[in-house]
Amino acid sequence: MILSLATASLKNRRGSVLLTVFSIVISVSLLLSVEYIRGQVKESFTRTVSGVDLIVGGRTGQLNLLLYSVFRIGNPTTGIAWQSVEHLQNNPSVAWMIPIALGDAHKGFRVVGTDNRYFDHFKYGSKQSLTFAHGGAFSHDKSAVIGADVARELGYSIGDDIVVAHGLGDVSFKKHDSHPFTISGILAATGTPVDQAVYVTLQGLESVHEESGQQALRKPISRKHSIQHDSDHAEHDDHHTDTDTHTLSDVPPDKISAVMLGLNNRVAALQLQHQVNQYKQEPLMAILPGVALAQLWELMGNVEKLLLGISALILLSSLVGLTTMLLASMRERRQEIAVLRAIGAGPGTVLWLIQAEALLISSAGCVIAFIAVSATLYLSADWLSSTYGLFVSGTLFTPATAIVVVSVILATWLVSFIPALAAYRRALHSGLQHP
Amino acid sequence: MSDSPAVRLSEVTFAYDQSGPPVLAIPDWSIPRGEHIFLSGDSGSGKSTLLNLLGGTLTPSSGNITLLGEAFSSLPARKRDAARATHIGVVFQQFNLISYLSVKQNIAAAAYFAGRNYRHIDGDIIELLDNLHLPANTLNVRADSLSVGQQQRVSIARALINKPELLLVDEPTSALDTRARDAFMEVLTSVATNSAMLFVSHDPGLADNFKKTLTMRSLNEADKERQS
Repeated sequence: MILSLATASLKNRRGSVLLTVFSIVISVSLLLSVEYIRGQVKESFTRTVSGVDLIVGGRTGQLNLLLYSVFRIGNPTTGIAWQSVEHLQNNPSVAWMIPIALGDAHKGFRVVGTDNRYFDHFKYGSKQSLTFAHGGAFSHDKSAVIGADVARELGYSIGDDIVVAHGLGDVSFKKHDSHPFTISGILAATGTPVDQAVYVTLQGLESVHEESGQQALRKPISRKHSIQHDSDHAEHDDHHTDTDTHTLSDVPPDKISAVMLGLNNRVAALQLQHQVNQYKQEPLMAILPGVALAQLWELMGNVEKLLLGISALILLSSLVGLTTMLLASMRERRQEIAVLRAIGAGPGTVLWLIQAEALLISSAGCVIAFIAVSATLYLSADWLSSTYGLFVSGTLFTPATAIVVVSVILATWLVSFIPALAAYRRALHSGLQHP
Repeated sequence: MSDSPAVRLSEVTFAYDQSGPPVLAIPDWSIPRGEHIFLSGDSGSGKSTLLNLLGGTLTPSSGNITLLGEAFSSLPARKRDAARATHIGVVFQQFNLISYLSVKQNIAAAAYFAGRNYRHIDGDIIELLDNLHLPANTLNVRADSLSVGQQQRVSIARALINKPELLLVDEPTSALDTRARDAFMEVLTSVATNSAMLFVSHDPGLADNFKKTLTMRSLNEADKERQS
């Protein structure tokens, strides 16, 4: 009965009530969106790499190594000599490794030099392997595999030739025009930075730079390995145009940017990290991706908290509006309260009636906001993924959004005490005569 | 307990200002069950105070009020509210229906506050409306869509839905012309046969409808003192 009384009362004041509901819809939508997007960004963020136990690079900051090796943001300040890579590979704890060489770009997308182990071992999300939407892995030294976003934005397909350019800008004056790579595969979308990179073979990248005189990070510290293969190199260089478009050579580069390691036993990660950090031959650094990701997320968390804070303030202003609306209605409801008292309603009932009205307004606002945000996310899912790389998935009904809604209802209940107590006091002093 | 009056006042005084003289002082007075009493009095004679004391929205400064032989004024406020909802019906001067509620909701609210299952009282409401010559199709009409005459009847139905032992009627005809007033009195007295009724009015012309009449001056010792 209280609810039907409250509903009828709200219907009777539908103009001001609708405005109040609208204001609550906006603020709850903001809160839900921020909370949901935050969750999705965090998920997107943490799904960028999975199953990699250690990332090893030249000595730098933990976050810098993570940013350039996983997110392709920034550049390595130094690299790893191939002999160090081999040293790591020979470690009995290491099950597999993925070499990565960075420093080039193609039309604004980062170029990653690697080998087919990248497609075999790299995992994202919940240990999901990379899959090919079209084509396959490297088949020769001048093969290229492109991420889903690269294919979509640049309209590439299997068999197209692409040219990498030195540096990272959209426009580069040092294009390796004479050494095109041929696209052999297009990766299926992952919602991670994997989608936004061009993958070429280490050997292809090495030969491009050697021929154009761009040694960059690939200048050897030690040429022991190369010395052994000097004659091979000479022969290879002489015939690279023929061989690198037909075969996949295993001539190692001099130097790479980083290496991702998978271990036989994850327990060994800390021990190997320590060994790498103490490596005498070359200043190296190993990071645990999970720890580094958590540290990076913590830094980004302040922005998220700020957004959440702003949304909470907007909600607060809506609740103040709700309180004001209910308080303003008290004067015109003197008669109503007196009648309710006369027919047996106690002051507590009157208090609960006003609170029920506030809770109905707030609940309606939450329900509408939920529907609105769900619909908006559903309709803008493609745009979010293509523009911001944000993969919207799952439902808006998460524990976090449930907490938001419960908090809104709880806050409404608390602020509704202001008009409800005013009504309570009025009810206490209300007599049986008409007011 | 069935012999006890509907309501009894014993040594009741009431003062709005505790340090000032009482506005109401009634040594001993009761309304027997089923009796209809007409009470008249000038403005300021204490009629409203008496109605609020009988309805339990005010409590005496001293003395006791019992309802159906049981303590009423000394009950905690919550129990007093419940007793009012169950045993007392009130008809206001302006009928005071809740304008945005339907006829049914206005009447059912009174049943709800009396602790009844308001979802299953449609039969009672329709029977009451029938007795009051209101068509059943008014059940779901908003109160403010009714004519004044219909609102009068609905306010009586709301007061009687819980079959109260005591009916308090406060100047219900003050805004009516003679014909409407007579029609209202006829309906009221015909349906409130099982309730004791205190009908308060300053219109002495209505006294003819009652076997027993009282004035505030004869009832209220404080009023007598003021007049003297």
